[in-house]
Amino acid sequence: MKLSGQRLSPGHRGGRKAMSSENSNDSTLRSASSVFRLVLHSFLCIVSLLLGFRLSRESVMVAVNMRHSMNRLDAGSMPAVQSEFPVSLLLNANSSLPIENNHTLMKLEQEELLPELDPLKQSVIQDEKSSRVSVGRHQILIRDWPYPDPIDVMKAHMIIARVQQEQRRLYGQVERRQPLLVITPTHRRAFQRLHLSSLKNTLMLVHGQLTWIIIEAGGRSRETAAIVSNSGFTVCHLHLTQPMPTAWSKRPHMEALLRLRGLRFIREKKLEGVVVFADESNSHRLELFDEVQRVQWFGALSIGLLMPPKRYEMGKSPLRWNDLDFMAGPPPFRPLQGPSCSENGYLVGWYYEYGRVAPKDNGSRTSAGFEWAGFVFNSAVLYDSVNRPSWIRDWDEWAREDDDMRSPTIMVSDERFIEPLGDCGRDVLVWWARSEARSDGKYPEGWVLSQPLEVVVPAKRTPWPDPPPPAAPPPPAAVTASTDQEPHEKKRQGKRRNQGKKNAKKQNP
Amino acid sequence: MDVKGSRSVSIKRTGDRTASGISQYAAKEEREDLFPHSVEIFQIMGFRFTSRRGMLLCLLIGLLIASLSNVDSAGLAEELHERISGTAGDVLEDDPVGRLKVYVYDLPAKYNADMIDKDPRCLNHMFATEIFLHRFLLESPVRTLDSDEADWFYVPVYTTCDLTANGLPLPFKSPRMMRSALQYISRTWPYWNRTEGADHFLTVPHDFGACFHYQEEQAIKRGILHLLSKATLVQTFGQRFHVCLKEGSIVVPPYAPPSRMQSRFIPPSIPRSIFVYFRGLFYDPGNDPEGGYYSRGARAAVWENFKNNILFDISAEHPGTYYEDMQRSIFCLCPLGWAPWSPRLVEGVQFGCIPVIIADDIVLPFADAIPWEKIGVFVNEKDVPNLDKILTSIPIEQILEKQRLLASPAMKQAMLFPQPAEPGDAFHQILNGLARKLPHNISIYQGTSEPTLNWTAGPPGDLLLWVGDKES
Repeated sequence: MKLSGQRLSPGHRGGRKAMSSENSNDSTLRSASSVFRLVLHSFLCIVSLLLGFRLSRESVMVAVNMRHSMNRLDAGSMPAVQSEFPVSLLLNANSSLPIENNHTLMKLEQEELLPELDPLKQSVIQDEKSSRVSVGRHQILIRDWPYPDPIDVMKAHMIIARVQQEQRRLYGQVERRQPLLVITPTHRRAFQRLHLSSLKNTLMLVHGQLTWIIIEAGGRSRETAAIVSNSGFTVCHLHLTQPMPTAWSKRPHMEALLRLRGLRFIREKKLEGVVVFADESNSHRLELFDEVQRVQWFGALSIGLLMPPKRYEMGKSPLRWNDLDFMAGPPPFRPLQGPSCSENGYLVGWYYEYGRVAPKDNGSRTSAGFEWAGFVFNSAVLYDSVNRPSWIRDWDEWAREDDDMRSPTIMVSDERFIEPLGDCGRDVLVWWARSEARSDGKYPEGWVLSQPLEVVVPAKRTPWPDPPPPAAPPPPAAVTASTDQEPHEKKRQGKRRNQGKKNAKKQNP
Repeated sequence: MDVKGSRSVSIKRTGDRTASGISQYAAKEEREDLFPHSVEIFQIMGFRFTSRRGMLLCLLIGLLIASLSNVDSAGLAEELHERISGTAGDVLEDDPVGRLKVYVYDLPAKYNADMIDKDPRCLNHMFATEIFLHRFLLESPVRTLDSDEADWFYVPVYTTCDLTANGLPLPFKSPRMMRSALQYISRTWPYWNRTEGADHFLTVPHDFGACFHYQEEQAIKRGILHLLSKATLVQTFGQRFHVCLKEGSIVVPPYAPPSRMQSRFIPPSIPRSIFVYFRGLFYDPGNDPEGGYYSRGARAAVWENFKNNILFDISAEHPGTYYEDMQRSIFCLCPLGWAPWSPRLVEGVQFGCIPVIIADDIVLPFADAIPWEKIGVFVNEKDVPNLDKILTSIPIEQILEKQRLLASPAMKQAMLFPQPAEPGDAFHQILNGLARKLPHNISIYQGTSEPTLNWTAGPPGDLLLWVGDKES
């Protein structure tokens, strides 16, 4: 009879009895030992049903392990899954050790249906390794601490990075990257550290060669130098002695002068590459730096504008155009500036906060009010007069400091030749934002505090001992009763309102 | 107890997924429930080296597979892929046409075509190799209609087409069917008796090849069908020192429809971000719930050791993005299941994921034409707990080298069975393997006075007559 829990007989499946007749084991009642075995087996099966796992198998393994713990067991022998006589000697194929020598096999007490295994037949091959593989139950090997080792994780990440680099090299990388010339005007102020250090971190992630040209208003300062140092790429720190004006409306002109100073530097040094205007308060996507590689001479891309629309309605934005008519009512606000294309992908106009505008036929600059950040060009247009296309003007023509040039399209004589980048302006790759501290704001100088901060809210539990309470003579006993109430009441009230502060006040006289 | 059976049925139903490797294991658990195991001892027979050439071949296979040595590449750092050449040389792209002639026996339809008519599911499961090889040979230029000039004879018997209700082949009638076919051949043509089948080849794609059983102990006990002891077998099972792999067999990959894989490619520039990937069963709940039998405990060891490891993306789930995820992985585990082979190897090669083969003594397809130890990583089953250390300590140059080899289109093509056949595919590799075995040893033609093949050998059940499946 088959009582083993799981491998029950077959009948529900398709009724193929051909093999079952060969394999069925009749219950043998030939000897008392077999009766005993049967009884024990049925007992163990019932117990295993109760306990929920196959006790018979486990007890067999324990018994065999204890009995044959010294031998190197092998190969080949563990009988198949169903065991009718678990208590009989079974070979435990518990080892998945590589076994290369001849082993001794234990003979099993089995029914006469089963042939006996001749141990000597196994050692047929003397000169080669015999099979390390045995059929039967194997141990599931679990190491002591089945968790990742941080060094292995680090090595794996290095492998992944190297594989991805190879993939980029083989399949996806931009063929040749032009070096980038990033121009950033700045000046020393409270929020400079905030903006400039985040821009530096962005630029550190850019692939390829990069030169960062920083032009500072009001002379070179230690603070700026400290922020931009240790970046890993070339930094050129230029300056103009004229300070940045405090009035908001005058700042764009000053910034344009700073950028012009940077462009003059590029022209003098004849630096090669793509000129990108990265204002320090802008947010850039890394795809921007891949996209600008595609520019041939002069390109334009879309920028998003992060600014409140209220300023527009009130007419206070620095991006106001002079020729906009307010009488027609507040226009719809779309916070974008960029090129606008036809279906063929050619530039047909501009898209700004209030809609589209087509280039005028007389060639006047319709994009005059656009931000510098939305334009990139090849640095050769500044100094290479031979190869430069005819629609780009010469440096001496347009680079005049007294002119009110508000966007780099001043150097272009015909706007229609400008190349639209970023999927023809549909991809916004950079966002323009201006957040500055008020001039009367109490920001620490360079965000470095000279004295340690005072305790406002003490931590609940600190690992350090509390400072001793201030030494005070103990009041006379008669008075303590009443005076003790008040601090407690005050403390209780304090707990309701503002526990921390009152405690602090108590502790710090 | 029927509860257990029905539970395994439900598991099998959920196990029917697109990934054929997983369905194989679900299939296994389904079949195991049919027949109770019995207490048996098997005999492990040693390898019989009947010829020096066979011994040399096996030594080469052994050296090839047993060593995990570092192999430096020739420094072809700038190429996208490298040429694959195994121990037999640069033979992956050989053209077998003109190098051999194959005569295909015209057996009655009950041995082949009727089996398909009875159950057309045979055309889609992973044992369909036999059907498609027959069809390929019928149309191939190597086929000759003149049996006197043929070098090789093909016996088209579809032994794995007897399917259960769930689509799993039952091998119990296969020995009888094979014997019946061979008796027919020996009566009708003189070529079988001339060499006792030494210049014949057939396909036995089942789990343990010509041992015709799905349980390993039973298969070992049966051994290879005695009548086939001289013929060349084309099979998927390959394990050294195993009864069911005889020397001179051609190991082929399991059948997987190429269109299913080739329709799911993603651009190669998408970065590979998964370190190790595996989807499939770790425990076989229907047949081996506690573990230890299924995959010799190796899959369970992988799960227990690495389920908490972020580098290992392993689970028993069945995602719809299985093929896409393989293309985003660097290593794909190919552990053994109930049998050492699996379609994961084919899928890994298609998708450029380095196969990590965890199966002791396995013989991989076309081992003489493809240098597998240069392409995959072999891990002993006892070393599975240290799998993360092993994989992270492979030098990065080797990993890149393996990826370059895997990118070779000849490599990918050699693992597939496309219809219609294309140059360099697995059909042609089989023919190349047969061509490399030519010319036949002259001794096979010397008829012996008493034939050594015993037509009455084998278990008594095999001797029953097989008249074809009349029941539909």
